[in-house]
Amino acid sequence: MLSCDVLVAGGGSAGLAAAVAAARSGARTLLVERQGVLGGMATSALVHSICGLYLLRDTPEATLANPGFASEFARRLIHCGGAEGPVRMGRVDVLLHQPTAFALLCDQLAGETREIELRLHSEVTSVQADAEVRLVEVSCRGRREPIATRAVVDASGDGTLAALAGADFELESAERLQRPAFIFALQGVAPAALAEAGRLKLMHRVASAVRQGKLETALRGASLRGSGRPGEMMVTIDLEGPPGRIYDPLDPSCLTVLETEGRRLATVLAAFLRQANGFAASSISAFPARVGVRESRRIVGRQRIETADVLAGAQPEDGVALGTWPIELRERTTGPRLRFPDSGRPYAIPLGALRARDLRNLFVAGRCIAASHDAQASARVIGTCLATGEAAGLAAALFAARPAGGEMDAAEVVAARTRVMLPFAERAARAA
Amino acid sequence: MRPSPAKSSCPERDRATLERELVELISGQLLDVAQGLEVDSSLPAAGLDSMAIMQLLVLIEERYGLWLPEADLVKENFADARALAALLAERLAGARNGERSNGR
Repeated sequence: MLSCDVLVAGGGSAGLAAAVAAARSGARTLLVERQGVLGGMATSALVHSICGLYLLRDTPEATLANPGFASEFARRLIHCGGAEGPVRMGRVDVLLHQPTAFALLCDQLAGETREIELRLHSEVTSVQADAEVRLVEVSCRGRREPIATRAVVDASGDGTLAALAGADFELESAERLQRPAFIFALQGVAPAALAEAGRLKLMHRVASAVRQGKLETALRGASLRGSGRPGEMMVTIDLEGPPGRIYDPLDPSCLTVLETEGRRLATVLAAFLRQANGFAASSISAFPARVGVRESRRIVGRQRIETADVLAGAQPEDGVALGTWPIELRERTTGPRLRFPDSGRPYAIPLGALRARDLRNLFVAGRCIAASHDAQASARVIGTCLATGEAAGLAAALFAARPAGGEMDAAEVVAARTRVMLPFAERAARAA
Repeated sequence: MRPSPAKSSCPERDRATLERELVELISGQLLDVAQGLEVDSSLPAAGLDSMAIMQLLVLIEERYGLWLPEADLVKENFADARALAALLAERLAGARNGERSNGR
């Protein structure tokens, strides 16, 4: 039977960060991802901006918030031409990226990190656990393989491994769950139509058409942005969910409706946009491999990030990652509602929010960490996932390295990051 | 239930009411700024970007029955609540006087 020190479930931004951090710490690491590509929402769902990398600021220059893997990844992505920024949007700074470049960088990082074994097209299907997770069954196309592991990181987004292990989780009511984003790419758009100045007019045109009954209400909040590549525009539609049914992002029949509705609405919108100047020759070049779910399970941790922590810029002693993004509520599909912290200060995510309460060797990273619904609306962004993933991976490796597993404190995780991760981030800074 | 803007012939009173209502609308539904949004706080600095402007247009329509035309989508009109209130006061007066608000 295969065995490893750390098994990371999910190869999105958090999972990749966890795997790289664990492996660089010396843990034999298995990274399991059900799609054929790493990157999660930043690739499969065509999310094309990385939020939460930079501190909120009043100063002229943007500063990277988390010094380890998040900084390394951002610098390397910019350096290879796969990202542009930081770009100011309203009161925040984001990095606009190409999903293709993101995918490639993930492959490079997984490939160059010796102790990582990457398993794409593989999904966690069952878990054996008592006080600890003992065995994880990983399946690919009908072949099931049990894997013994000392520690696990659930970076699955949906808290799948944790749920299979019987760990407790929170799930918001259907009306309040963050709505998902359907993102697609348009090609053949004339250069003049891609300009930033025209965006607002285009969005106004769409909203006006909805208002006049010429376009479906579901498209009212559609937003568009030039991708940075010639002739290409990325379009985002927030989806409400199946009409007349309860929204449940863990229910495959709900997800099915989201996917088919997303493609249908995209087609309707693309046809409408062709009437606009510069769009006559445009067409949909790519659908996402999947709809971008923003929120589902939140695993119950030893600690929890509370809404008040985010708004106050709380900095508990056992912080291992910084969250900088405002609370971005998408409970409605007409656009986000933002709540900025009182002081503009970042909040520190405690190690306890990355450890499942119910299982000693279960670490959690990404959008399913222990947080209130509103706090998750800040901590779920990719920039923060890169940091919580790194912290969870470092902690899992520390756990696996001890004969009896057990406790570690935040200071050890921070020290491990300095020792193991910062040299790579600094190298990336020098190469820029 | 908020009172509707005073239907007075004095534009200044309408303006002040509009300013206050817009501040409440923006800070209640779009941008939660803890220090409190003032009537002359810079909206872009508070985070009002293209997406937020679109949402604001929808909220203005829901509240005042007014859909701002594309021609009104210039930076100056969205600089602060004061500027926006001035625009709305003008448009609302126009609507009252029977001018058709541009539905485009």
